[in-house]
Amino acid sequence: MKRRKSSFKQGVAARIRSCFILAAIGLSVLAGDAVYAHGQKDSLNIQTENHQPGQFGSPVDKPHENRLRNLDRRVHLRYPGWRNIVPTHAKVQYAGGMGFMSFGAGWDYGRKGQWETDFLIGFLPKRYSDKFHMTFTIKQNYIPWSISCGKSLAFEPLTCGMYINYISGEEFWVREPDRYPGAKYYGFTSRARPHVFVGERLTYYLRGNGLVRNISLFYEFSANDLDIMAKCGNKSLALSDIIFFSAGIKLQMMR
Amino acid sequence: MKFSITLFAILSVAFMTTSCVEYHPYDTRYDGEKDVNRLNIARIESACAGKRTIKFAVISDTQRWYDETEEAVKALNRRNDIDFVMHTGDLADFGMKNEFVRQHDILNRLRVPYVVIIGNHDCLATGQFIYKEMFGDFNFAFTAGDVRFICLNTNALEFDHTESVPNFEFIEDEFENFPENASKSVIAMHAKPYTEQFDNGVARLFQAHVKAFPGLQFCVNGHGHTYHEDDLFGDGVIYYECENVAKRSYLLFTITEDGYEEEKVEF
Repeated sequence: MKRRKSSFKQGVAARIRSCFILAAIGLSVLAGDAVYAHGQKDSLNIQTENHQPGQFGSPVDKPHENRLRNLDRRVHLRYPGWRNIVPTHAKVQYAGGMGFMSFGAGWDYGRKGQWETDFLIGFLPKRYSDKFHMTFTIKQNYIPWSISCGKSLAFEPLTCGMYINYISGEEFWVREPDRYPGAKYYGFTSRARPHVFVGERLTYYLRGNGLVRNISLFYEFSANDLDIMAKCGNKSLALSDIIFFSAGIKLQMMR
Repeated sequence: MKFSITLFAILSVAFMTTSCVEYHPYDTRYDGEKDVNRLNIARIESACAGKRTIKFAVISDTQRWYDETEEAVKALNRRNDIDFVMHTGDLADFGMKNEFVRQHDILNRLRVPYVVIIGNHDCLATGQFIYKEMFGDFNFAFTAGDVRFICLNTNALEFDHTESVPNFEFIEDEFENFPENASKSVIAMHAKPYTEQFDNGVARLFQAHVKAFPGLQFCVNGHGHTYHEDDLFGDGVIYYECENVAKRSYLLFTITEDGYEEEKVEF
């Protein structure tokens, strides 16, 4: 059945869709060219060329047996000792139910750094709400694969995970205020909102041993728990009604 | 080449399935139709002017039951005898903006104009700000034919003395400025007296105000999710409680010169 959307939603949707289609064309052409270029070269060379051991400790370098594994150039390097508490990356994210803009840092771990945990602080300006709100987000990412496309680009075809967002303001609660009768008058929390997300990334590897080693552009589609619950109970609710777009930049620091 | 086509296809499908970005589930960013109650009241008043018989339907508590709300709208659209639809509150379940937007989109498919009264769930978090922007004032009144409809915010528990709930100043102003072309009245609200939402310390005072309205027919409310026909104060004023939309029913009222008829219609 066809749903009629309100005119504002149509307008915004059309604008955003056209932007994204342009971005998709750009990204796919870029990725296509990169893969084509990559096909002309020996992937082993690329691997060794780009391996730049850091200042602290050295990567566990193993010659890769097959071509597919060579496409994933990520290597997780550990700092020695106390330096492990230094965040490995910084992030900026636009929208995604965690405020207008969120800024933060995080740590990556796993053999290829395929796990990331971020702490983000964001804000919701007064023009988009009743008053100015701060937001705080804990985000867990899983990035299983990285496909090397040429010398300095890599495409990460899947990022997924979840985050919990907290918002400031006295109108929100974690536990219901005492004025409500019973323990579960409403039975939900308005202050903390869990989301799940899936997305993709494009990473540009910089040369040299500077502070920033690579820059990733990412986009995500996310949905929150309450909307997922609503979707489960309503056939008429389209997936597009509960899924929202967000985008951001990640700067990989030092390692 | 194959890779880029596949990627493009995946991304395109992904982008088609999203409609916009969301800063926060509780942001109040809304560019759609505003002041819906006022606009619809103008339609109701002009369409019903001079009529001696008023027929209207009541639906209530549609929160998170989008399928059933759509069915209710379809059922109401199949009729061609009603003048307007009254929603006695709880559009949203958690007070999130998108819940209001979705419900507004569904209710806008009604062929007849509708008004929405604020429910306790609509007040949660930033919900009350969205209600105000989308539908207008918490207390409002309008005249359909010769019947004055007085719609009140009775969710006292939600406002914690930041608002007068129920707003006696509004009720007294309505009483004093009762329009000359109206001779009957109907009082509508979300939570009826003696529910946990109502400010029960003033329940009798409220009832005294309600009873004073000229030609009072009955009161109508939602909130309880069950059909009730109660003489709450033993004074002959009947409170009709409309079921939640998940129970697939609406109330139908016909106010004629001789009195009124009430019917619970299942769909």
